[in-house]
Amino acid sequence: MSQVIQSTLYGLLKGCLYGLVAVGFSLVWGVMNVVNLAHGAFVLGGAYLAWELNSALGIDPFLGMVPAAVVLFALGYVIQRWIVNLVVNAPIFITLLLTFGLQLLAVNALILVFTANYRSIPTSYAGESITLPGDVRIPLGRLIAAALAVALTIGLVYLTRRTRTGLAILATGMDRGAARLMGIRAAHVYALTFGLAAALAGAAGAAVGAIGTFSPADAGRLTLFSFVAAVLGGLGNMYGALLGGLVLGLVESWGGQFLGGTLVNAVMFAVLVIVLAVRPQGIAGKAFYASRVEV
Amino acid sequence: MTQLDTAPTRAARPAVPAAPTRPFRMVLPWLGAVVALVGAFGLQTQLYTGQERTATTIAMFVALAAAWNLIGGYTGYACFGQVGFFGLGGYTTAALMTHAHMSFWLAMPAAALLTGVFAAVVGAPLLRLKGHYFAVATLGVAEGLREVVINAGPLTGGGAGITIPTVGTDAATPWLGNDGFYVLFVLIAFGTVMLAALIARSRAGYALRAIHQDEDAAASMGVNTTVAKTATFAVSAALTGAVGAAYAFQQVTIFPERLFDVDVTVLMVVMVVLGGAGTVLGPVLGAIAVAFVSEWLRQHFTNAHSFVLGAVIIVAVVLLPQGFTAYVRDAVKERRLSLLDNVRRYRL
Amino acid sequence: MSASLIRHVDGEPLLAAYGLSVRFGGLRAVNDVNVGLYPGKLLGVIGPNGAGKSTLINLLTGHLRRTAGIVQMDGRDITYAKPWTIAHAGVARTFQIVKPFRGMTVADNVMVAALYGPHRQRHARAFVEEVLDQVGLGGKGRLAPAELSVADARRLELAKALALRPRVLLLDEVLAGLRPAEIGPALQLIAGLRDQGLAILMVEHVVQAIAAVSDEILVLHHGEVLMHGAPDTVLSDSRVVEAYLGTRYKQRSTS
Repeated sequence: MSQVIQSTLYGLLKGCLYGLVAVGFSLVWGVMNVVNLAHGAFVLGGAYLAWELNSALGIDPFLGMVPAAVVLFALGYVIQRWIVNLVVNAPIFITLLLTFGLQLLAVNALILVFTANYRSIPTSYAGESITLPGDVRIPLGRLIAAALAVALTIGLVYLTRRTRTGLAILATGMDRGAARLMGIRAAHVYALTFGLAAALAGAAGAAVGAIGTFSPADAGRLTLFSFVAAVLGGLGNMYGALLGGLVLGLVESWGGQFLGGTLVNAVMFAVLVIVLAVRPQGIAGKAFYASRVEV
Repeated sequence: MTQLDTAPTRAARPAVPAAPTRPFRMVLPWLGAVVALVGAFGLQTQLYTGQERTATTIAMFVALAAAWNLIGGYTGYACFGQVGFFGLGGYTTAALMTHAHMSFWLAMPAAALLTGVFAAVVGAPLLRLKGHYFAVATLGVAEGLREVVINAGPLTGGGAGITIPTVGTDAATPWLGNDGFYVLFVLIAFGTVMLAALIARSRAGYALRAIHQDEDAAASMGVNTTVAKTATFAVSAALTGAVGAAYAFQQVTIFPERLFDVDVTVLMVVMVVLGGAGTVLGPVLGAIAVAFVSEWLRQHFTNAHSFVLGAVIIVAVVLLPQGFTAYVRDAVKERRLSLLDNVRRYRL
Repeated sequence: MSASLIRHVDGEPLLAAYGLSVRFGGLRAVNDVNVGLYPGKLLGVIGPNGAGKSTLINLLTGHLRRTAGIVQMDGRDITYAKPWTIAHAGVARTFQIVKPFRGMTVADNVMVAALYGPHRQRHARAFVEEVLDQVGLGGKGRLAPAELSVADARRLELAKALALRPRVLLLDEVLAGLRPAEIGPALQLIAGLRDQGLAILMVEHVVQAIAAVSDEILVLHHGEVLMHGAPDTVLSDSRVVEAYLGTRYKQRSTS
């Protein structure tokens, strides 16, 4: 029984992190209708940055989330503003191909610089755990990561709903033409959104580095997880993406516990396909942008 | 469902009549195809083994691109799980030849048929999805297939791979040899492109194009969109499965990572898009060009070739989103060669 | 609402809907509407924006799934039929926001209907030319839809519907965006089709136009039938005036 509780807990904690990764992805998709296949690479970018800071300057990876976020924000902004914006009006597989090319570029750049070896960012406390009755352990590192992930998500939702910039993002997502008519510079807003998503991904990457191992090969898997979580949670719905991440974390954890092997992945894909076939607006509810008008 | 009619505000590309009417233009493509086929066979005598294998790979990609073009280019349903059909065809053939000692010439059509039926079944719910949803749902199917293959040890050899018997008494069909496979893949490529051309020029071609451009309008005009999409998906899958079958036989030993490699799908899509989606010649040109570039990069930038490939894809997609054949056609019609026009057309 | 519709024509309607309703969440977009279309008769449908006129057409053509009610063509139930089945039953429609196949020429646009309609044409190209001539697009077959003027774009929309050689024609604001000088010929064309025996339902905002050409008018308001009857009666009815022009106007005009 404690096995079940243990793996459930692990799943939830890991799921929060997946949720953080997915939230940015979902935002970009919901606002700009761009599926960023390079999203996983951003996560890894943050992880490697945090690793560098840790090995060169001894900066704690959780603190390293901040510079990772900042650098990735700038990178995301530039990439969107001057590369992705060039194909925003093209048919969707153009943008998919473009972001795939970006992913190839980014992942291989990371491999060239850092090699494909797995590494992690060790800290003195991440391995410690709080032990609950019933012999259930909560690793401290994962707990901190999960808490930060949830906090950042809440922060993002607050940002989008309460600040001017956030409202501009939402408005541009709903009706680009109308937003532009009201003086919103769509290209800038799109770049901001993309940058935000990249920043969150980078922060998540730093956290991933703190609690486990990572390598450039993980990028594709992370992107796919983001996709599944975003779809489960409903497009553009940020709390939904968090929820989707939790579901993913649970499926991965339980699956690993009881199914063994890589059949877990098959189950996850089956879940994705079934959800898409039966309820494309996701578990969490209404499609966020039901009818999008793009001019 | 509200959409703004944006036709007056954005420079539109000229429309092209679906089927040419003048006799010479109707016959020209078939003539060209026969010439190309003859040329391919003639080329074979001039190539060294290494070059022959590269040419075989190029022919394989021509077939894959042409098959993807049916569902992705003409119908507009960007399937990002096409490699799943490739792998399914390959593994079915491998399993049949290894366990049932079936001849390749029986196993290949059987694999193609199975793959087509699988696609029809899976397509029924999935083809109701659009755009990104369809793309990644099919990606999920492909990934799922790979996982199933990895976990079906006795049948498929699992992660350790499966080896088709090609010599000795176990082998139902002896290995065809480099020359043999060159001919096989060239014929498959030829057949696939011809089939695609036939479909494109036929009544079905109108339906697919109509579905791509406005599915609701097509439905109101009497096009049974469900049947059209599913049939196209199944045919595209079956052709891809056939290519996978031939590939499996050629490789003799196959592994899930190779037969279900997502990069293969992306290469297919890149080839079709850059060559010109929704045209007959586009996938052919795209496949040849991209395969050449990929091989060249592999030889000259052994370490960084994926990196450079990524950069090349980005640049090519930005400058030539409508594909090479459409670019040439428009340039000839409008006497305008600027690639930057594309950027202006699609940028924000 | 009374179930008997046009009183002076005997026989069953060609296309009929009884109790047709659709709900989006709490909103009843169309509520308990009865419609009957007869050969050679034109039913005008008017109503303020958001009254449910386009929704009604979408319900009749299978583009939208109804919550209640039935739709029959020739006495056969087509309530759950898909749009292509309905097209094959002889019902054609135009879309309010025109939906041409952009990458195809004007002729090829019409060709799709010629090849997939209920009467598959043997000499499709000649047939397409004929239809284009019929709507006034003769000689423009090789153009791209984007190159057409607004009036011509509407003609193309009509041509695509007529290429099905339908018995019922549902027109959704086909006069919208036309200049006053263009409305006359358009009405003539439509009246001509009606005289050839088509059963036509015409949703329109241009009230004078609809008055000129309708045999009967149906007024929709908030998804419900406010009134139906002969054009003169309906258009002078105070409830209709109020619905269209507002209570203040009515107050002002009656005070």
